Formats: sequence, C-alpha cells, structure tokens
Amino acid sequence: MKILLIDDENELCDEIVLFLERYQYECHNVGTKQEALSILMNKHYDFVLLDLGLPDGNGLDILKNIKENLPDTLVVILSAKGDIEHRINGLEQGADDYLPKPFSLAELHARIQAIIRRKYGTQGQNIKVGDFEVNLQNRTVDYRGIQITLYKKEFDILSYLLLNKNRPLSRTQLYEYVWGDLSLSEGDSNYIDVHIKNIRKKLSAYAKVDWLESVRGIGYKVNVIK
Amino acid sequence: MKLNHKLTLYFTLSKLIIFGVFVSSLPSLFDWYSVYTIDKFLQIQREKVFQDIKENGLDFYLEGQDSYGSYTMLKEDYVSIQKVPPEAWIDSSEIDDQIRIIGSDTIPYRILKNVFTSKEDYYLLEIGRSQQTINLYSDLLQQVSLFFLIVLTLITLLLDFFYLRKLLKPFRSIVAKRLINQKFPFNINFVPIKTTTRDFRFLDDSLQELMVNVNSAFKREREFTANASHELLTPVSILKNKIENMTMDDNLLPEQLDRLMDMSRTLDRLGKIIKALLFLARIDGGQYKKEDEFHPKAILYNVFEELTPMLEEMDIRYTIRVNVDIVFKHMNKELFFHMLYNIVSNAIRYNVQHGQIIIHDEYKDGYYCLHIKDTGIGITPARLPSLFNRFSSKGGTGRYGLGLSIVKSIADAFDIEITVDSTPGTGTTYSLTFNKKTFLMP
Repeated sequence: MKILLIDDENELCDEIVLFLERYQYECHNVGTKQEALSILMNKHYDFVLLDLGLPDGNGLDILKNIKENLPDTLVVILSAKGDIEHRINGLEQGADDYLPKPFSLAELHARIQAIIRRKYGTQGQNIKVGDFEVNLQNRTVDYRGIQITLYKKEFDILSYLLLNKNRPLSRTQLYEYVWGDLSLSEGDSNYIDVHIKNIRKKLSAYAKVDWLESVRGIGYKVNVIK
Repeated sequence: MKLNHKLTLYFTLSKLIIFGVFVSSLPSLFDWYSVYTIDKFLQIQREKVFQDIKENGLDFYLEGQDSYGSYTMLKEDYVSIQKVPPEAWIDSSEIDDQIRIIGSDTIPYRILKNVFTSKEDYYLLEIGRSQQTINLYSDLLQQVSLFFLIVLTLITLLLDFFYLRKLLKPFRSIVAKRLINQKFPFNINFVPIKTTTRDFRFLDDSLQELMVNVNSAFKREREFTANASHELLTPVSILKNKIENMTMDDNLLPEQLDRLMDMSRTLDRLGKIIKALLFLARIDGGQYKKEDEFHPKAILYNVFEELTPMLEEMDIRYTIRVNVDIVFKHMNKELFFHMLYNIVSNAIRYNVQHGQIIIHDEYKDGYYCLHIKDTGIGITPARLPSLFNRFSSKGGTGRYGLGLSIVKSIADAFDIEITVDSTPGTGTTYSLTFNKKTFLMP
C-alpha cells in the first residue's frame, strides 16, 4: 500500500513515515502544493495524507484535484483546524476521513485500516485472540460460534487495542480514539477502566481473557502471539 | 425614579417653597411698607401744619376756640389740635395705631401725636390716617398674587417638564441604545446620537470608544488564545509522535517504556489543555453556527447513553422528566450535547455509589428551565463563586478545570442562564434557563 504524505512540518513527517513503514506501508513525503500536484500526476498512491495549511496554498485544492482526476485515491485530511465546520467542509469535498492534530500514530493507523475495510468491503479475516474471534468489519466478537454483545464503545476499545496489538496504549490514547471530540470535555480517561472491566466481565463468562493485559501505570495491551 | 421626573419634582418643590415663602410674607411686607409710607405722609402733614401756624398763627386753626378738628369727607384723614395740661408734654412726636369711633364707624387710625407750646399753653397736635383701605388692599393683593403665582408655577412646571424631556432625549437614547439594548460582544452602531449638549456628546463618544476598546481587547484575547493554541499544537504533535515511535522499539527495557509512557501522558495532558482552550476560543468567538433545531430530550438520552457504563459502575439511577415535544431552535446541537455531557459527567463523578440523577423541566414566566439534580457530595459554598472559572478545579484529580468553563462559554453563546445550587453532602442542582428565542413550546 502506497501512501503520500503532504505536510510541510518535516519533523512530524519523519515520525509519521517511520511509523507507517513499520506497518509495511510505502510512504513518501512532500512539503508543498506544487510538489504534491506534480508527484500525483506521475505516480500512483493508494492513500494521501493531506495537511490543509501548506506554504504555497490550501490543501483543499489538492483534494479537489485528486477527486477529479484520481477517484481511486483515498484521502485523509490531517489538520490543526480540528473544529467541526472545517471537518464537515473537508468531508463534503470528498475526503475519506479527517484527523485533527495532534493525533496519535496508533489512531492514524486505525483510521487508515478502517477506510481500507470500508473501501474494499472485505469481510475481513477474523482476528483470533485467545479463544475469541473478532471481526472488525462486522463488529462482532465470537466464542466458538456464540456471539457476544459488546457496547459500541467497548467494541471500539477492543478493536483499537487489536489493531495496535502487542503494544501498550495509554488510557488517553484510548479515550481520545473512542470519545473523539468529547475528549475535549471534562470526560475522564478513567472511564476506559470501566469499559475494560465490562469487556473482561462479558468475555470471561466464556473463556480466559488474560490476553487483555493491564500495563501498570500506562494503560492496556492486547497480546497476540505472532 | 427617572432623571426627568426627579428634576421636575425638584423644580416643583423649590418653586412651591419660594412662592410659598413669598405669599405668606406678603401681608407683613405690605403692612411694613404701608406703615412706612403713612408715617412719611403724617410727618409731611405735620410740617405743613406747623408751617401754617408759623405763618398765620395758631388762631388760623383755633379761630378763638380751645380746640380744632377736621376730617376729610370719608374720614380717611383728620387733623386735631387741642389744649392739654403741661404734664402731657412729650419730647418729640410719636406715631401709633389707635381705634377711633367716629359717629357710627369704628376706624383704625395711624396717628401722629406732637405736643407743642404756644403762648405758654400746651397743645397736642394729632394727625391721623385711616388704615381701613390699606387692609382692604393688602388682602386683595395677597389673593391676586396667590392666584397669579399658582398659575405661573403651573405654567413653568409644564415648560420645565417638556423642556427637560426634550433636553434629556439624547440621554435617554444613549441609555437605550448604548447600554440597555447592548449585549456583549457589543454590536457597535456608529451612528452618533443627535444632540447639541456637549456633555451628552462626550458621554456618547466615550461609551462608543469604551465599547470598541472592550470589543477589541476581547477579540485580541480570543485571537491570542486561538493562535497560541494552534502554534502549540504542532510541537505537541511532533513530540507525541516521536514518543509513540520510540515506544514501538522492541528492544526497549520495561523501565524505559514506563518513562516514555509517563512523558506521553504529560504531553497528552498538555495537548488536551491546549485543545480545550482552542475549543473555548472557538465558542467565545462565535465560530459555531446557531441553526440547529432539535428536541432536548433526545440529546439528553444520547448523553446518558454515552455515559451508561459509568452510571452502571456507580449504580446510579437516573430519571428524565422533560417535555418530549419541546423544540430548541437557533442552537448548535454539538455544543448543546457538550454542555449537557459535561454537566451530567460531573453529576456522575461527584455522586455517591447507588446515587441518583434527576432531570426535570419547568416552564416559568415565559422561560424554559432544565434542572439537573444529583445526590452527590455537593460543592462547598466557598467554591461556588469560582466554579465556572478556568483552571479553578483542584489539582491532582487528573482534570484540568476547564469542563465547567466550557459549559459556561456554551451557555453564554446561546444566552442560557446557568445557576448552581448545592448543599454539601446532599447534592447539586444545575439549572439552565432558556429565553423565548431559543425554544418552541408544542
């Protein structure tokens, strides 16, 4: 999967590229609207990560160009202008997602995955975790054919941990992912504990959930044997 | 009391007092003046009599008799000369009031008495003038002047009232346009109030200048918050992502991971504060559209749905007694949700195990009220006044004290009045009052 990152903040780009390459994405970075338009004409990318505030113009122009000429390319807007108006505007103009800065790389990964699932409509393989099978596309958790009902937020937390398997995610990361905008509010990242407790309670009625590990002082981690 | 009425009242009272003093002192003034003129008259007459005696001798009057007396026809004046014993001598003339009965009339006179000698004999000269006509005039004068003064007072009062009204009209416009009908941030209307009064011109100009200054100070503060937050978010992004990449290193020792996650947590906290400040700046800056129409009850259910696990965790029961048909208009659904979410999260967080949350509404004097009541630990009276201030919540709770500031900013943006009533140990009630413009009754 090829990704073009259009952002002029070099230090930030380095980190994003480093992270995405770890997940076997092929990732290039350009810093201006001009460069972006010319590279898009010559090379094919599956994904464009687009910053709106470029030194030589508005990123929305690039979005327009992509939507007109490269309908198969998926676009995620990365912007410091995270308010709802900008977001709606970006999505109305055809962006596939909008990620307000600062975002967690784990979240970027989760969003890219979600768009791919949506786009290619794959039933997706079931991810095996312990004695359970999780289907991210259908949003189901099964134990030997028995479907277990989780609240929406509980499933969101579980799927986020699964996408970032074998690495700890902090409560704040989980909270921001699940609550989105409301994470600005006086919500509490301790709410995550309540949800995890509920997930464990619901699943442990069927089998052990020792793969859902609490990481002391940090948050949670899902261990999946490679 | 309005300035116009106060001034009119003052003029009325002061005029009444001045005119009252004048009218009541009029008789004594008149009396004093008439006595003065009569006395002068009497003295002049005496000089005339003495002149006659000097020129023509005393017999000019006595004509061989012992006494002489003469009245004018209407008995207004009289002159009399009569012989008196030497004991009746007085050094100089004296004037006093006496009542004389002449025929069938009793007449008050002002009488000048003078004893003089002629050929070893003593004579008393009396010149008198009636005061009856004077008293008559005095009463008449008092009545006429009283009447005129009343009429004059009324006329001047009417003039005062209407003149003051006209004079103060610019002042009333200033109060109405610049103060009463203004809401912060001020909608500056630069059409100056028409007036030729310099003080009002100055007042109007100063008020406008003040409003412009307040507006621009507020705007600057908002822009600063927005710009500073934006600028801060980029380095926070970079650091956050750097740390995240570092945590993915498989060769990391557990204690190194711990420290990285600590850093990440601190950074998350910073990011969250910045985002909340930016959010506040956007709300205060009116960047959210006010075009949504919705049923508040539906939003309330959404809020409680979001918070279900927390409610279950603390075994909190909730009741929503809200008119299902009421519609909010000219609002922003997202902000309204945020506001209720923050209030309800507080109602859960500061509640007790097995507690309750009751939401009910009320329609009062044309206003619509929502009350969110919890059975929690309550808020101490000392903390109540600063409850909505930014960063006012106590540290160490993992929160940043911006939740209720956000509530307040949203409330202000939609002209919602918010009050908090709390009894420590019993619970807290947040009351939101919506004005007519923001809701539709079924």
